[in-house]
Amino acid sequence: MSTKTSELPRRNKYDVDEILESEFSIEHLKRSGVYIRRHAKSLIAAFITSLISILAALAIPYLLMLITDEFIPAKDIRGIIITGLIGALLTVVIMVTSQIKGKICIKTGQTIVSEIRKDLFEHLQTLPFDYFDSRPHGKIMVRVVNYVNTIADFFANGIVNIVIELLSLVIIPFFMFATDVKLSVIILTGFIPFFVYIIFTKKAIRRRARIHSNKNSNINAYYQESINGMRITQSFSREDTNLQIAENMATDCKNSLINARYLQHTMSPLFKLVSALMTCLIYYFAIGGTSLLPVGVILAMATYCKRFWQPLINLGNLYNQIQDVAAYLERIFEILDTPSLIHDEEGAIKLPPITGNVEFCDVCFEYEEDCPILENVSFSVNAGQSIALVGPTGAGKTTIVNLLSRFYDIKSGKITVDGYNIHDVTLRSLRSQMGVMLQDTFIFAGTIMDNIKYGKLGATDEEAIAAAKTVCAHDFIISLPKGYDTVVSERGASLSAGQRQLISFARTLLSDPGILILDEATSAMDTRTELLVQKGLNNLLKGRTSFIIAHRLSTIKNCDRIMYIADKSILESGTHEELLKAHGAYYKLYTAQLD
Amino acid sequence: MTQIKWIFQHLKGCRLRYAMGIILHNLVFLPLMIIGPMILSELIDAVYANGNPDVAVSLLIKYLIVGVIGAVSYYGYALLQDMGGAHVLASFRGELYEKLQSLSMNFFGATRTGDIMMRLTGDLDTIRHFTGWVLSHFIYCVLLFICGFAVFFSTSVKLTLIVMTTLPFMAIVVYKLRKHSSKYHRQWREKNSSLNAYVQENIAANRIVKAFAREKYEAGRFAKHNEAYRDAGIKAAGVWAHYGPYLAALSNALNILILVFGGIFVINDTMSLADLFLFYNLSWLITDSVNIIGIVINDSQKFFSSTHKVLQLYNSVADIKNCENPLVKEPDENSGTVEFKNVSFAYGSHTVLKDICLQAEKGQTIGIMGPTGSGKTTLVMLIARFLDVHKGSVLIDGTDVKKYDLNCLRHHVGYAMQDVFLFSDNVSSNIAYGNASLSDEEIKNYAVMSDAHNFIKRMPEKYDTVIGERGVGLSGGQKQRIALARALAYEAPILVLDDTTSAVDMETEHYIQEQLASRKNKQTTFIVAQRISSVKNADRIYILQDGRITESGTHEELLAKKGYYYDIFCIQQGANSPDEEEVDV
Repeated sequence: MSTKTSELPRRNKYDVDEILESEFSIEHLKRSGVYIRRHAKSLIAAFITSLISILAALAIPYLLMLITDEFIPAKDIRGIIITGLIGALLTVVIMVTSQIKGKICIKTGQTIVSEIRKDLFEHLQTLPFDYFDSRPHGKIMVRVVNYVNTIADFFANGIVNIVIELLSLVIIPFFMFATDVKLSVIILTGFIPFFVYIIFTKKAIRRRARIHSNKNSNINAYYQESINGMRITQSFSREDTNLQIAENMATDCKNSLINARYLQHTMSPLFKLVSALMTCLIYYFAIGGTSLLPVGVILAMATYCKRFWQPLINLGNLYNQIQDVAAYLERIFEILDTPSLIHDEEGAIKLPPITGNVEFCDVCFEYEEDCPILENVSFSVNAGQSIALVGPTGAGKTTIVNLLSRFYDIKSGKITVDGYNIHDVTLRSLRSQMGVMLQDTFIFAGTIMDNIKYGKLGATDEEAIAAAKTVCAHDFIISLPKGYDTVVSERGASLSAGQRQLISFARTLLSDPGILILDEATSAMDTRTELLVQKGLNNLLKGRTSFIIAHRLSTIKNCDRIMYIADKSILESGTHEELLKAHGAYYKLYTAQLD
Repeated sequence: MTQIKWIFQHLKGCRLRYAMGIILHNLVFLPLMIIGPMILSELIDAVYANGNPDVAVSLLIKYLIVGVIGAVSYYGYALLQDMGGAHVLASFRGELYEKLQSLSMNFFGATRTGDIMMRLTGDLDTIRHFTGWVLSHFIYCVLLFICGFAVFFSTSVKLTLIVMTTLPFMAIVVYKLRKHSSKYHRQWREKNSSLNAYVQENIAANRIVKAFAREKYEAGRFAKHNEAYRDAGIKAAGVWAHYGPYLAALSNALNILILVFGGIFVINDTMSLADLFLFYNLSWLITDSVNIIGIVINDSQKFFSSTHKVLQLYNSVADIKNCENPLVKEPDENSGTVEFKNVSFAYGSHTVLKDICLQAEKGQTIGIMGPTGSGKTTLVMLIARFLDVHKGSVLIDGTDVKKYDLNCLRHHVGYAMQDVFLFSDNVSSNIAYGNASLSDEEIKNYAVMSDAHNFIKRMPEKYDTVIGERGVGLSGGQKQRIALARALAYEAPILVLDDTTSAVDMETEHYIQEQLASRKNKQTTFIVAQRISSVKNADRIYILQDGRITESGTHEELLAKKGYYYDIFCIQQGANSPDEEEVDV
């Protein structure tokens, strides 16, 4: 909000792909290692149970071979039945171990992603306003919810499976070479196309996966914004144009998906092809050589060839998955890497309960370099004083009060509260003692009571009602069908703007702040309500420092001091009477209103 | 089945390719999967049993050809199926978007953005997956199953019957899988939706959270949603982890049964060894089919719970829509009269407007004032049918607004709403939102008229500067002025300004009023305001209290009445209370 008139940060629109500078690197995967390591025990347990079930599964074909090669020729019915029973036993072992493995993996995967999501969310809370202001909210949403969901399966099964497949790749050649060296070498040459394929497609596959994730993010952002701005769209009859845009974006998204699939789907057929070729070669060399190899060897080698390719195909699929996951992880870590900018300094102390002395010393501030918004602003306020900020729209009034809550850091100078530099105290202790009534009122989905209590966690109903009475919100609230229990929807759509302000006012009051900041807090209220609110406030403001920004001068003329903000600094300062006598900017403003 | 039909409808334009995909998968790839191993056993037979190695090369070439066709058909199938899925996704997206645009404010008031988003993202993706993978694999399973049993029955009825003893168990597992999968996926989806809604609200509320230093509290609230979602996810995915191994075990049991009983039959000479091998070598037809059907069932349940939600949105009824044979009449130079005839309106049982009668001639300015919550915004929302009257009627140019085609109706009215919403796009696109054909010069003129030009020209990229969603990044007054420019640029015969200048200073407001008054084609203007200065030049001012018009007249007439308007006037003139009767100018 406020006054970034001279320079706005680089922003992102719904239809602009977000550029990621970093190249694909194993770093993203490595970084997720932090989360994986926490669950090392579970993953090892999953790995062991998985290994048991695989070994048991390998034993079953062997048992069945016993039946065909030994017991049937020997007409040994008892042997057959015993083998069958052993097989049944192994089947149960496989079943139980794979159930355990599956459950461990799922639990671990879901836990890891919920931890990533938690870190992401908590970091998000520390990001400056600017982060939220400079991109569509839909794009942030997608990262916190959708992308994290997408990687769940990788953490659930992918990791364990990679280890298992790699292990099979080592074990199977061992059996192969024990059976026939020449044929084994032939089978191993199949590695070559595998590597060539990966080297050549790696970049392209990744690029396409990334384009798709961008398009997806764009369309989500557009949907979200469309939903929130639907009233505007309908009032301007823009439905057709927007539908066209949405359809184009959906088509883009579709094409980018198909484009990615064109490449991704080449992997599996290619391996099927190479596998078929290898099989042919085995048979060819086994039969076409100087001497026929025994049929048992051929069958065994053909089986090994299949068994050898299966892990390769699985790894290939996992590789595709990893590419996707890396693209998503990149997005996720990008949020985690966004610096908080404003955070507790090292050794920050807790600001003790404040009395309300505020001082600005030569404060300079800019949103963007070399575009100063405030220059050498100095003033001091004694505890209990009420200060009004007036001046043209966009002059920096909101900026000044935002600096006091340290929503932004100043470039130079010093802001102190009760003599403490606000830079050296914890954000929490500072902000929890400031009651800020923002220009944009925000009402949470929930009851009116919950909304008021947001100002003070654990407040009783009585306290909340008392606060509502002070700001004259009580009467309208109890006139609603369910009184304080009335459920309001997101953004308080069912309330009038003035009513939303009243509720948000009660919320601020309930927080019992040492310093009260009212930024156009009453702009949508009618004059009488405003007057009543002010009367209620007067008692409350006694002993509290307050800053009031308002355009209706009747709201502010009784303040202890009025500061006229313009041209990056305080132009005039004094009481209403003093400023009128001075015949300056304030005088002009005041007489314009009476006109 | 309705869902399948529904998908078929949305495949329009891609049906042939999609069908080709299914055909490649089931009628080309699948037979080749069976033929390939058969060629190899023929080869072994020829070389080892019949001692005829000469056929080896031709058989291997055959095998390779089967391999190549198999690989190509697989690629074709996978791609065509994905195209089908992507096509259905895009087509649903377009259709649902269109649907959303037709829904009225009631719907958006009652449905959380996060919930709608869930339907547009996660649910649609499930439908995409169903189209692109599940459906074809369902056919694949059924075919494998039929082929398998056809071969079995033709080989040995006795052994087939023994193998079939596993079927009831499979049926039980599949039934239970289906039941639990359905239940847990529904729950998972709900948790996902509420996590969405929560995060979405948190992002929108980021300023409030910081202002109250509630980061820790929010983290706690988030943790609840996040953990509920995690646990639901573990349960939902756990269904497959639990039942999948049962199916795999039954597949194994099937193989063991074949060899144990087959072996005994061979020993008893009631079955040939060759038949047993055939049975054993083709048992994968059944076991694969059983394993895949499990996945198909599991994913289908996700699909059904998602389609249920998407259908709900799809079937939402727009409560404000065109009547039969609506009047298609675009505004012309004579348009602009508005009349309220005994209008009443209520939100549920909460009456907001009662018996409102109001008349605005073309070109007139109407001021509306009244206490907070008295129904001012509701009143102006009735003009372009953002809400529908409960009793009485609103007329534009003598015709009931309900009789107009909605689009035409809304071409008559330009709104600058109280709750300013700007799009994350550049300034000029925002101003030209309702009138995309504007030239840069015209856009600038509208910005000048609303006094937005001065601050826009100081922005780094001027009119190309991208502003954020909800216009954050701009001050309240700046947002209002851009919204005003947007409403002016719409050039509708009726202009509604709902508290549009509350956050701009007096001088600016005065300037804007002059600009409005000096327009050539003067619009019929409704001004909802709290400041006397905003409405005092209006042709007529209506005072709304408790949903009724209690006073009306010009500024002078209202002052003379010494009622509500006069009180407000006195207060705003500077006296603390009208009783004190002092106006210190």
